[in-house]
Amino acid sequence: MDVLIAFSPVIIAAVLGGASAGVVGVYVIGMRMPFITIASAHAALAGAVGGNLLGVNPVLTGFLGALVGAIILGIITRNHNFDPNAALGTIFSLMLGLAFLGIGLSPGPKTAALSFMWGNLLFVTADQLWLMLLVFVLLILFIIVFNKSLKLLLFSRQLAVVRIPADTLFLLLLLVEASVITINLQVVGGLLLYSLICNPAIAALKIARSYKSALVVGGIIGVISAVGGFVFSYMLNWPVGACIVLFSSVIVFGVMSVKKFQVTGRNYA
Amino acid sequence: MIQLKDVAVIRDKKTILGPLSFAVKEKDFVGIIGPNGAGKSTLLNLLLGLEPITRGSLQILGHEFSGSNKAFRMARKKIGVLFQDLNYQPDVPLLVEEVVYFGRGGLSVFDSADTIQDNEIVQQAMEKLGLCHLSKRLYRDLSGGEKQKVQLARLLAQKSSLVLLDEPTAGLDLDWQERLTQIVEEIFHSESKTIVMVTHEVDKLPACCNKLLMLKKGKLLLSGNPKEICRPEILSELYGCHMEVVVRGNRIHAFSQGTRVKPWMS
Repeated sequence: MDVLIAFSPVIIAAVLGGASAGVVGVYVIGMRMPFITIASAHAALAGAVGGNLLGVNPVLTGFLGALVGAIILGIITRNHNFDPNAALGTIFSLMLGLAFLGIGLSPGPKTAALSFMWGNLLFVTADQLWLMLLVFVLLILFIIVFNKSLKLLLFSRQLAVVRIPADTLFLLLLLVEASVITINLQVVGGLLLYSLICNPAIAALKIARSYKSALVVGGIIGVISAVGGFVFSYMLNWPVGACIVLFSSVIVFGVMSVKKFQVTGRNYA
Repeated sequence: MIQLKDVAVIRDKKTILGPLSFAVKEKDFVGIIGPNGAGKSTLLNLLLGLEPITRGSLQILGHEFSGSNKAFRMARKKIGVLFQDLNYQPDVPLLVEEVVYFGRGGLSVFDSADTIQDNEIVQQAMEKLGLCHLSKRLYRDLSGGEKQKVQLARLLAQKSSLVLLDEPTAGLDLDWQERLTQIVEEIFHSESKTIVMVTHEVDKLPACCNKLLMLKKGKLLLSGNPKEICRPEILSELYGCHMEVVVRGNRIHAFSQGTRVKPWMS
């Protein structure tokens, strides 16, 4: 019981971070644009490292980094005849280069700078918890307000462009994703964030039988990944970020195997 | 409904399409045919404002085309469009009825509740196309033909007067190709819509098609009544291989004779 009380801020952070990452991942994976997450996560990482170097609040600079990354990505992907993946690769490598430069230039011990890469859930502060709650609430409100339009965007961006202001909505989605990425830098770090956003969504889209259930299941698997990963990390004394990501990967493999088994069973029945 | 005057699309100093001039009147069924790379999809994207015009003028539903023209963008929302199946995300678990409901919303980015009228229209569209038994099935689990049928139900639910169809029968087996052609024809007659349909092959056009545009290398080779212009020598010129044309009932069927107008290796 004492352990639970002692670790309650960590567990709350894992719940909020995992849920928001799992939900936003459904849109990213549903639109088949996982590379956007990698590019945004590294933009946030570069921003946070830069903030640390300049003595500015790294959460703020991380968010600014992710925000700038999201706007660039939104403009690039606006051209519907252009495959954005090549440009995303360039942005990803540029941001990673900037992050490593910032870490290299950081004076003294690099612990703080490196924590943005690997995450450090155990040292989550009360301020960060409130920020995570705020982002989670904003994410839910965003989904409720734009529910139908988001569903259409998820179904077909080309059709959405004809029917609604899809490019603006897509940019808003990228901004929300940037916020989720920023708050989760603390949970798993910039390098592993992609997995926490994408793995729960991949599993959710495989097993969900409706759009709403995909969002709910994505959120739940995100929570299970983050909390389960933390528990394993505590039991085995392994790094938290790595355990969370490994745990979410195990869930994806488990879901894939069960689905494959079900399909094979149905074919033989 | 649609009016193009000397419209051209130029990319990297290369003319992709045009100059094109033609008009589509109310309750016309216009077919656009041509080989790969003829500019059919570019023309369709142009009609939807997804492709910028380099030269000329385009009017749709009474609104002049311009990328920044709000009135045009509002008018565009009233156009029913069916893209090829490839453009829909296969991973998303959406129910069939949810896809048909996409025909109702869409004029505002903000959410609004479905009205009783919306529900009735969606129900009628699904009934008309015999989709009621599939309403709770996942769209992604349907066959290609069933998916296109659901898309046509979405178009019916949209109640738009102008419908653009991009190869609705592409990738389907012969039975489904024919079924969809029949459904499109029935929709045209019963709903009094203006339809523009892009296709590779003249066979896929329903008998009600009263105007045909033949595109080759971005230029308008010929336009007119399908029965008058679908002659073997013209289709041979269009596709680059010797063609045979057979008219059965009101439908036109074209077959390649297996020999090219120019040598195969040229």
